Amino acid sequence: MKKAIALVWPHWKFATVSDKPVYPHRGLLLDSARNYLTLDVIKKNIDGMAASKMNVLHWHITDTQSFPLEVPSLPNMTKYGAYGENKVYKPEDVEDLVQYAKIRGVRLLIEIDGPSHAGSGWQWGPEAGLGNLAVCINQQPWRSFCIQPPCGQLNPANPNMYKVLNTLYKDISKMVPDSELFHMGGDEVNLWGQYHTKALAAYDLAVGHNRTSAVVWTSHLTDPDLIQQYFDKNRIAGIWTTDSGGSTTFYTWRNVYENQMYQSSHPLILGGEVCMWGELVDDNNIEPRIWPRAAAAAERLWTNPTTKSSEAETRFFVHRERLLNRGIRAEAEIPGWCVQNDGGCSSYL
Amino acid sequence: MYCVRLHRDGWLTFSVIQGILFQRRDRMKQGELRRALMVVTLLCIFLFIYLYWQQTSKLAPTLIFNYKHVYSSNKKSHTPQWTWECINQRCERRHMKGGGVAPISLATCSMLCGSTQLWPQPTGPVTLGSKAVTFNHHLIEFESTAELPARALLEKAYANFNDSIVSLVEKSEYLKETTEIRRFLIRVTIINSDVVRPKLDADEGYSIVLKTRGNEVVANISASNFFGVRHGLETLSQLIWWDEYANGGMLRVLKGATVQDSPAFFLSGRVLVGMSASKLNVFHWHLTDTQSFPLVVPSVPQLAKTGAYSPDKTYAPDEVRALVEFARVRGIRIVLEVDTPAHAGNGWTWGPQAGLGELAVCVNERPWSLYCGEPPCGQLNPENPNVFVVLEKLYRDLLDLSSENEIFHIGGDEVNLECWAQHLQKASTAYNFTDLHDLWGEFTVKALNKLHSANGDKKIPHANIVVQSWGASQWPDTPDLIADGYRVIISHVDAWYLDCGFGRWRETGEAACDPYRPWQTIYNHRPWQQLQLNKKQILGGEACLWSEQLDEGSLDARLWPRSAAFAERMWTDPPLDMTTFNIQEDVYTRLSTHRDRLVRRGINAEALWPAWCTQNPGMCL
Repeated sequence: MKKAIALVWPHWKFATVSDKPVYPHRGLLLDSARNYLTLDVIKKNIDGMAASKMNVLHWHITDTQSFPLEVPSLPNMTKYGAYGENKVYKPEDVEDLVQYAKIRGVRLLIEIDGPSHAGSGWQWGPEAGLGNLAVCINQQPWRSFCIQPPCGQLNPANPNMYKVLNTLYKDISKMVPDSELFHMGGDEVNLWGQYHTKALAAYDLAVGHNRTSAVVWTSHLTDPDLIQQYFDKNRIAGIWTTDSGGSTTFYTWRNVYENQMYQSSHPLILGGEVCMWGELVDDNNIEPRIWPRAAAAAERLWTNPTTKSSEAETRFFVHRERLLNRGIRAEAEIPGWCVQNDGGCSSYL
Repeated sequence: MYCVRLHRDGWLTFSVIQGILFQRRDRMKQGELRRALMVVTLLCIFLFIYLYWQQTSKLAPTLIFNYKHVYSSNKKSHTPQWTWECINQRCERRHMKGGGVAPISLATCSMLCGSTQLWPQPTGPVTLGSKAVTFNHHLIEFESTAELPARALLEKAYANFNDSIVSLVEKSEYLKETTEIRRFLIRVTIINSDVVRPKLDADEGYSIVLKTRGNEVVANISASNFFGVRHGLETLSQLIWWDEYANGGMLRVLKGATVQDSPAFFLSGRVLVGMSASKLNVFHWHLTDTQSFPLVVPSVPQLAKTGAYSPDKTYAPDEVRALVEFARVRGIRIVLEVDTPAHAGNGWTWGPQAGLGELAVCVNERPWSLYCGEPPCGQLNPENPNVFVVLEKLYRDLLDLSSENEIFHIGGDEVNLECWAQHLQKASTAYNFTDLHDLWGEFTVKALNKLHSANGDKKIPHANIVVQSWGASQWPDTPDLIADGYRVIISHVDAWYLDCGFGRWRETGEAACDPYRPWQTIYNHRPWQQLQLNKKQILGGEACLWSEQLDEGSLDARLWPRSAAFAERMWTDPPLDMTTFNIQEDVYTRLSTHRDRLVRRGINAEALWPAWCTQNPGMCL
């Protein structure tokens, strides 16, 4: 924020604001595969993003647990993959969401994770005479085959799998037209370097051009010694998201706010994303889990401030009230007394 | 939020109609326009009256409960994609192939498979039949030989039972479907119809015998008193479920079952609907602290007037009374706590103005770290006799509001002696004591005396002092208290504090009590075994949810389903393997079912795990 003077109702004071973000990619990841999220709740989160000037909704829509995205040319995906007939996203739902987000300055980045994190929804291959499209599906004991139950990984040895991917991408590209970005997943798997090359080829075939940038997770494959082999610099935009690395510390809004970006404003760093993985959240508790902490990340990515959370406190709590007013169940970060008595709880003094 | 949306829609309708009329104005004749406007205005007045009526939020004796999916819109009946089969006591999810065998829903499979799906697990023998029948809630009838006053409570409990059943319904047209029975009779037998107040020594046990004869299901619930019956009705409601596959959706009940059950502990503390579903029976309401004083105390109105965050952030006396009634019908007693002498600040500063002198000292004083554990500071003034005059009025009102005559919480934690040392008049009290702990002790004795007076001069015998032990389980507090002969209520911070794990809320310092206590930690805390304590002196336990870092938006998720895990520890008190701390698969299965049950009753309980794990019991351990 460059400059602002408060508007006081009913006496107008004039204000001028000149503003632009430091990072062009300021995202929130939602996971609707571990636990289904209703459209209403997704929209609520988009509202929160709009209020905080975040601009990318990274929708991790499928995983081994479920495949809720209805794919018109592949009805078996949801037939075999959804939790239930009413726990799906129809193409018109996705299109509606794209519009809803667009008006609020948010772009939808859909992720179909692969080759790992793919199980539910891919079981129908043998029945359709296509062979195993995925392997290790729901295999037990799960600890031997994956990081989190149920297991499942696409079968890169089966050319039909890429054909299905192509069809899948084609249908998705119709729901999210003119998408500059597409997330291909790619985390927590060994060995399948070839997968990405072939999957990207399948995508290009689906959309009819090769101008889309594909996003992938960091993985063994993106290590410096391997990355050039499998990922074309001009096609891949890899967003490095901070991984907790298995730690279970809670990140307070202050932790989120004070997270330093690597080498502030390096031209190759597009921005960042806060990730709300869905194992422990659904409609009932997702809003307070995300808000207002995501808003702290929003300022980190827009302003990239050099000051600490203590300087931002007052504004942050006002923003939390703003989110509440807009119908978002943002968490209380501090006793009400502290909000009413500005600076009363800041330090030891 | 629902009301606000209605309100917004109302405005929208009004402006839309106005807009249309405005556009058509030129094409309408004068008289026509006037008539049209009249009609619209009348319509809008009705609409606003209706919306206003909807928005009245006073807690009437009939507390309106917000349902999530009662009679939700009809879903298209597709062929179900999943079916479940009971294999080796566990339900396995299978994909539906077309034609042939009728699909079985997860709920039905679960109820007829290995697990009881009850929470908390009954302590006595349970036998559950292997068949179930469809019914609708209009077929339910209640019969009882109970007399007043229990009968009055029973009527309300029936209504709550009904609500629990209706909350399961997912299809508005289900009443039109044929049912496999004609009548569902619930017959209630109470031995002591005069017990209508929760009592520490009252028997909360019950038994259920459920039988089906022909086209009639009869459930016999018998208990010593209303509170046992209430628990019985709760368990019965858990033997009923929504089968989404039967005729496109129907309620089902087991054809036969017997349950014998009673709790391990008398007290198992906290929030009312979720509590009643989980058989918790004490709501300890920590009403005030230094930050604010929201309780409107009839004989001391200045407390809330000067102490509340705002006039609408108060609890009026009739609201508290309504809540006490609401709780009682659900088998829950409410303990109202106004913490003193510490944890008292905002709300107590009006003394000088009223000519009573300083009622509290160190209020909002800086630097706070010298005078209290957490800002803002505040402690009652032990050398001002008017403090005790006010306390007696306060206690009298609290006893009246809660209708309690058995348990009273006087607070008494975390007194900061430095605050008193620096703020008391030099020439008096402070110098009578070499150790200010004695000043603290004197305050407590005086406060207890005031409680006697407020309670109609009924003295509280020493044996009736119960201490709520909140320190870590490794601290000497709990064992020492028990060794000294006191009875305790356990709330060990390392296991049963639900607010922990969200980092520090101030800029400086450490988080008060990280890390988060997951439900397994809560469930596996069995201090009477781990510390070899005399169970007879343990009245029970309380899970605590302090609110520095939460309010309504996340209250449900912070409490549930973890409080349910605590509830089973206190009701069933299952054995604990202290070498492995292993929790059986069935606990996970039943807790997941219970979580979904809480959600259906309108509680935004936290998700336990990915839904895949609920659909595939035993596969995510």
